Amino acid sequence: MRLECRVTGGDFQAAGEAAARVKRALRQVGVDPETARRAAIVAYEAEMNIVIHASRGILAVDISPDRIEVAADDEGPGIPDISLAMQEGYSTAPEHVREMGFGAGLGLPNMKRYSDQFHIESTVGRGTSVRMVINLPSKGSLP
Amino acid sequence: MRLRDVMRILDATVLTGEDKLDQEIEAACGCDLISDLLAFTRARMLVLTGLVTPQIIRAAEMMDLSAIVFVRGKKPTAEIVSMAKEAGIPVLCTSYPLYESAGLLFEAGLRGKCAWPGAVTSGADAVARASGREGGNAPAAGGDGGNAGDSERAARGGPRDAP
Repeated sequence: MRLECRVTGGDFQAAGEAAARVKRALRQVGVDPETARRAAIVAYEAEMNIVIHASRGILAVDISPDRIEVAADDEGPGIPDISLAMQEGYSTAPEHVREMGFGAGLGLPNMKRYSDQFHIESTVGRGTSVRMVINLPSKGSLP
Repeated sequence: MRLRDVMRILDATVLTGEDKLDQEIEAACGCDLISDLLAFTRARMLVLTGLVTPQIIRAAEMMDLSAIVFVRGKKPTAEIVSMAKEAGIPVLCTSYPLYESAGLLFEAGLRGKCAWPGAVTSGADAVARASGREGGNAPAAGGDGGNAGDSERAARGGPRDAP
């Protein structure tokens, strides 16, 4: 099963809706609450990164019997130094975004923390792609 | 404690989720940063926050949090309340500031249990450590406010704290 959502940069009203859809879909197909929660958190962080930093992007989730794959691809400024961006506490979020409670520099580290596999690629001036895999507990999380 | 007790202790009003006042609250945290919430809280926690934005509801929904208490008399917009209603997350409002709200609930026995980096797992642990005992003895100190208070006082008056 595949779910794809468009995400618009700067749209804080709709921000989080894609991740909410992902979470509902996972619960509907019978993914256990703890795994669905982890997938929802990484999807939410990825979606917020697009809203905060990029001009637009796609959040895609593939659900198979053994894993959930979350992919976020955006068109945006890209990340010049990925190892720096992966450090907890490092953030380039602007002040108005911080006032909304974001920009603690935990987004990417959180995505890594909650996923079983994490991969990020970025090209400055073009955009960023993040791929995450969350393994489903063996035997029959899905009906 | 139940959410109803939280409401009573904080003299709070319920904006949505009256039907969930009897649910059991096992732990709580105070947090004004969504990223921290996403990083360190656990499912089914109560969150005290002064951050009145739609995003706090969305994050709470993603995290499976049990309820939100807006502190310092902050009032969410109708839109925020309806989002919370749709997500099935109770929302309460209290006039107490964050620190006092947390203190009142902690005093009544509601602990943290956050996965904060370097955080102790419970208040009893903190008291035990402050008094020089290992956290492993926490069950002995836990659940008995009197003892905990004694060891805290002992810690404050202890030789290590002397100038």
